[in-house]
Amino acid sequence: MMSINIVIRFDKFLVKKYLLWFLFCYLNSGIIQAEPIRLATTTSTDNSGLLREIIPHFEQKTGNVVHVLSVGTGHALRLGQDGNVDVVLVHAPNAEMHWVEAGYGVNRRSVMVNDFVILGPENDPAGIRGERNAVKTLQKIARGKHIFVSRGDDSGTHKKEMALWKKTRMKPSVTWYRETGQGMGRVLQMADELNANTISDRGTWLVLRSKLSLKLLFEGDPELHNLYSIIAVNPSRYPGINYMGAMSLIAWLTSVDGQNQIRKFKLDGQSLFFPTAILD
Amino acid sequence: MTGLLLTTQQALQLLFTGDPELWSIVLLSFSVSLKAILLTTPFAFLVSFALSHGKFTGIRIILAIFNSLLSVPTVVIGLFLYVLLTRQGPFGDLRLLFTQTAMIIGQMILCFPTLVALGYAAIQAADRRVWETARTLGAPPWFSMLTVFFEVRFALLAAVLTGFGRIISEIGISMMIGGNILGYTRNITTAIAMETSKGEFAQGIALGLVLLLLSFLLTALLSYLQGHKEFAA
Amino acid sequence: MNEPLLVFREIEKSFSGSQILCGVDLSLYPGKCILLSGKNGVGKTTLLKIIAGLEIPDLAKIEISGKTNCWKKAVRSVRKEIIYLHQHPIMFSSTVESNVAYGLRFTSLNRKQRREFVEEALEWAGLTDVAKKQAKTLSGGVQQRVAFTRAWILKPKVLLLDEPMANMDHESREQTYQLLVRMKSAGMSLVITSHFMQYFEGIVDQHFQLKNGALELKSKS
Repeated sequence: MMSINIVIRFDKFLVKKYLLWFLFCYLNSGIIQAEPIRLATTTSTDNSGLLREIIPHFEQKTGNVVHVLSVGTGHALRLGQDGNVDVVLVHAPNAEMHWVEAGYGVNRRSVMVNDFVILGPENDPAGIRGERNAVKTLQKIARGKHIFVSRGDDSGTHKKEMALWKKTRMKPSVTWYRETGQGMGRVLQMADELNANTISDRGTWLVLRSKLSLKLLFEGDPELHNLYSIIAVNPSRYPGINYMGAMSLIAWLTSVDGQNQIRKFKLDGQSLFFPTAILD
Repeated sequence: MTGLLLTTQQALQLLFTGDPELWSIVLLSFSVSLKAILLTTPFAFLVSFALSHGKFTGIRIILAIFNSLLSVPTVVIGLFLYVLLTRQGPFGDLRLLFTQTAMIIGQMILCFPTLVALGYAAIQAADRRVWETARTLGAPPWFSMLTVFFEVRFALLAAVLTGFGRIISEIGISMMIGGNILGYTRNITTAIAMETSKGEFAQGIALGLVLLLLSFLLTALLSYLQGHKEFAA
Repeated sequence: MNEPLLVFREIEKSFSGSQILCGVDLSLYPGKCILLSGKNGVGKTTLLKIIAGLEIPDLAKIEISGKTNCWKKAVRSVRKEIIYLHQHPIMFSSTVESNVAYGLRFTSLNRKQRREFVEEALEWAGLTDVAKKQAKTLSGGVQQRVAFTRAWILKPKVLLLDEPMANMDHESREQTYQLLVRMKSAGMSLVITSHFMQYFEGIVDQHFQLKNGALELKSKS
């Protein structure tokens, strides 16, 4: 029979062909001239369609390419911390401040604000319609043990929800509180199925409301304001981070042009985000 | 029920009106998976051949390892690669995370054991006389190997189709190290996951139909090849 | 007798503990035919395969024009001149023509020359009318002829045939016999294993029997 050595010799010849072929594929797999700007943002931001709408303006204007990764807030910050993205756009002010303090990010700028809403079934069994503030609505839900569906995933929405529960001084119980670890869209579907209450960002709600039987039961409390900020990943931590690109994006988003684009964006006829970088 | 029918109708509409975003997602799936399988197949079959014809110690163990790797969950591979490719990881400097290249690498790792194991089975089933005849007639070892491959080509093709089926329908790797970036690393499976989590079932169903159709085609091709093999001399 | 082409010395081979060949010597002469007989499973095929370079012996030496070398070093050059034919030859999944032409790929002939050789060989073996047929679909006897032609076209110095006439009808045996005669007169050294000595009367020059791992000379003409 044959010796393995002979096959391995052929292998070396193949290896050269391989490397060439691999290089070819690598080059064809979408490596563009300009280095992409990697933006990690939250699912709720992405789901609203805002970035889809306005990022191309930025790309055309500056010739940059932006790769948007939409994950939960916690994950987005983690990605920035690990140097896997260049810039993060999230809506969790407390977490953001700690993050910047820890040295992971620089140049935090406020970009826009929208709000959260509390949803529930049409007949409102918990009786939260017309309540005075958000904390009271949650208290009513807890007292009545009405099913509440939560993100449970360390996202901006979830952090807001947790902050509110803290203020109620009540602890949600497993009998009526469902922690799903899922994205906002999924959580809305589940709340719909279960005829439950939930808290959602207005954007996702507007996108999905025609498909759901849930209704908007409470809104307007300043507690429910949702502030978005953009932060560049600290370039001194990782050489090779696209810091210039990140700064370019931040500059545009907080410029008159960018802020106007944000203001112009409407979902279902409603303005969704209100620019905060330039106060007029 | 009407909701489902309506959504399916929308899905079919998306498919047949050539919705560009939808089809770019489909194209990406194929592009990534085809590259992965084409890059892996030659090397995998070489390994299969070495395992089949080699006379070194440890062949049994290696085969056992490959067989046990056949059903590794894709998220595990995805996670493992994420740890390797993250900036802080050993290969972070290659900046491969969230690129198509990373997806291709991940899928190559995924289909490699399948190709080796099924390739091995195919080559083992080959008549030893093919190799001996080729060698004695003066063919160098590499050409004799190719001759053996040709004789079991249907079984080898079945191995490739099986491997391809596994990688085009995986999500664990694509999601973890591709990042589901629109227009760049969003493939059929990650798009389905995302769209349905947004409640956009029409797109999800449309993509699901494409994937279903593909798996039907693969299965049909596979059974055609099996039948052919049975009747071949 | 003239100079031997090749001499194999001290061939030793064991399989899972049992010694099949213990120091076998065999000299191959051009234009001469050796018949190798012996019980089933005694090691005739193994011996042939070692000579052909298809099986690795535990120990062996090859003597070429007086110079002796260990098997491992010499086999690479020697192997090119020796072709082994299976008892039931396997056809490649292609036409008869393609099967016959297989080995020519590795010679330095150009396409035109190859085609000429193939045509000539097909005529030599009487295979011209089945040239374009799929070799696997043909009868055993025809396949045997294809196998011979496949080998003959490469003009090897040594041809090893494992039970060439087993399972053949009378007509096929006749045809095969004629082919063997022609190969012998073309100067090839033949080694044939068979149980049926009577089929090879007239062409066998030496008859050895493989017994207990050694060759016993039975007759010499």
